[in-house]
Amino acid sequence: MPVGYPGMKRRKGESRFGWKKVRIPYYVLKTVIVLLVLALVAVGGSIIWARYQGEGSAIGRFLSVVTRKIDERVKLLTTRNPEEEILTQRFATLTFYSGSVEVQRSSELRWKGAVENMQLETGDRVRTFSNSRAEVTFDEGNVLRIKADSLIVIGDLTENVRTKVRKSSVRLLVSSIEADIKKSVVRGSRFRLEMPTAVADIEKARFSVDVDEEKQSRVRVFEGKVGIDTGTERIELDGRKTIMISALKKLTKPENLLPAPRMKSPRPLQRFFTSAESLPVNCEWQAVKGARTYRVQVATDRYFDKVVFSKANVQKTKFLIPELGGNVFFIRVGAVDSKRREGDYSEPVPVRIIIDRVPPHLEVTKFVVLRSGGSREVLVSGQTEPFAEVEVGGRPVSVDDSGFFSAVVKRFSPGQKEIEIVARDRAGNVRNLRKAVSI
Amino acid sequence: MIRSGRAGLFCLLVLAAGVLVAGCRSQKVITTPSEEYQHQGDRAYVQQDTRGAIDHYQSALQAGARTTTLHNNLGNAYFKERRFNAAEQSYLDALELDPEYFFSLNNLALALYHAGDRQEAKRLIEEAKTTFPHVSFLHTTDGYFRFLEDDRKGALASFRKAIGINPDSPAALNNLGVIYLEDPDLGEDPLPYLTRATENAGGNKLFHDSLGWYYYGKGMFAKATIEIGKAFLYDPQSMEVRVHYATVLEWIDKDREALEQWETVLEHAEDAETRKLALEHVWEIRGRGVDGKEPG
Repeated sequence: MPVGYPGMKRRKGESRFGWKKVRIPYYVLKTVIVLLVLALVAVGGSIIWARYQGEGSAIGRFLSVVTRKIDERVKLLTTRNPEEEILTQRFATLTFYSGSVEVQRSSELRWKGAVENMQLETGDRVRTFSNSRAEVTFDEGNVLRIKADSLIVIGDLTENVRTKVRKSSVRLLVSSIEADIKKSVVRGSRFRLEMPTAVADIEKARFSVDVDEEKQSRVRVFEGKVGIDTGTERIELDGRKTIMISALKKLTKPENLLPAPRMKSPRPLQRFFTSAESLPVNCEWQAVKGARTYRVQVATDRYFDKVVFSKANVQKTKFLIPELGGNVFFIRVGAVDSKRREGDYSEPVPVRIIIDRVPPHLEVTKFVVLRSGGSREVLVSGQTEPFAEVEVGGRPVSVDDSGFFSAVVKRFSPGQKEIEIVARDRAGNVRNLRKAVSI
Repeated sequence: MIRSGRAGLFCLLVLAAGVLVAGCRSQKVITTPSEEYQHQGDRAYVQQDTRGAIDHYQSALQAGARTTTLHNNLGNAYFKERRFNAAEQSYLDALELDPEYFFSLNNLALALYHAGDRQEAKRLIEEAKTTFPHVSFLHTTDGYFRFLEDDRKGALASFRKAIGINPDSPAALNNLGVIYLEDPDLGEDPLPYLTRATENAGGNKLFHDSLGWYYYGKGMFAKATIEIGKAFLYDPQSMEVRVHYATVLEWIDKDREALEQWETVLEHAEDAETRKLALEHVWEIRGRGVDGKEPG
């Protein structure tokens, strides 16, 4: 039976349509309204915050990913032409900076201080001040190292949703950069650098570009190949070549650069042990054809911002780096030609100097003196640290990988009453024990 | 293998291809108790609790569930527990329901290979590749088998084929990157492959270990610690990842933390070579008096 039909007799407290009156206490209503307002403020605030922070905030990232995905789906569903390019936006990341580095978002006029791991999108600008440096990482490990007093603009950052082909570009204003562009996993992907008077297309290369205030660009290609196009001239610059592009789009004749020397020692990730405050480290490299001298550098960081030792005019292909203290160091060598032009540096070799002042553990687990004919023999076994050297009675004894040693010592002088067992670790610390050899 | 660093990781990553997809398929509205068990099993599996996953999946079977995904996931859990015969049976159960369920075909081949029936495993994967030429992870598994049998050229070709089919295939990208990492003479930079593998890995953080190991080799210790740290947090049971984590910790001067990790490796590692490596490091760090104790 329907409730509340016209003409129905209403009971007390019942509305015309059969609705019941419910009394909500005022404080409950007030609380609900306050909560609703707070929720609205929170949601609105988060969205405004996300918009202001862009990819810098978690909500911003979330919103951006959701919008992008919806956008992609809609494009995929609505496109009629299967050949049509559907592009999705990507991001670069400011993975490192030191000193004073600022970022200007494409949608803003204000420059803001850089934040490590902030995402950069098309149109964003990055500038470094003197004694500063920044590193921008693109997909697939492509890295752009921005040196001091530079200004760059992030250009295209797209991926074709269907083919996965990625296109990236960066515009260089007055700047000095080094780039390491890897060959993409997907064929057709491209990295482009736009200089004031030319464009460089890179598939795979390690190179540097310096753009000065007169809009002249110096391109040095250390490895790989860089295609340079001024609009009037085009050139493929191979590895170990350098070229100058003038403000009038004129290209100079490519000149040769010396290759990087190949380090022979120390080995990458080699560890050196010492009981002293510091240790000299010997380094050696393969000769470079055309090199007149070499430059050796040691730093405490891989990018040689913190150089602790530098030596130019090294004539030979080996050099003893004096006294490195307990730390991790990076060593590199570069060749210099007869015109004093510096070639590429070798790949930095990380080494660690470990200061160890504790004598090695030494434990004799078995020590048996035997009479053999007219003389004596000693059976000795024990344990020390792996890699320690052990001598028993002045004679070296082999030590296995876990530090165990065992030996039979013969031929004692008639009056000898004890023998010495000596363990010496890699740092040169010594521990010794004396044992009686009388029967 | 731990020193050069890869074989164990390689295997898990290939299997993951099947697991991830199967896992995704189970993301639906839960209506029955058996589905609830399955869901709990998936969750336990993702959280590396393979024993818990097996229990939940078996409960789902007892509750009457019978789906390819369930059998496949149960097989994967058995596989991770190294119970290859049980895994094989589960994959066969899945294939009985749907003979064209290529996730189980792939994983069955892997289980057979690890159980010692290599010829049958290779034959199966060859057949699967012919039947489903556009399924990228079948080529990845093929590459994996070839890699284990020292056919590097064949492995490279298979991984490249897998990437050709699916440029975002994380296992193929990772494995190809690992080969380039281990063999610099091939002249290819592993970084694009390893980076892209981590980008596409979804929740599977194990791929970060390979990327971290690349950074370690280059002396980029901070980045290495971050990447290997991600893999370590994802799977603290993996001795290989723990070894890598301990190694990088030493290079960022965290000797005490490294010592803790090496001691755990020494206690729990199954293979002798890993234990030997851990022992060397424990001796070396304690020998310097880092933990204030007399070594011994």
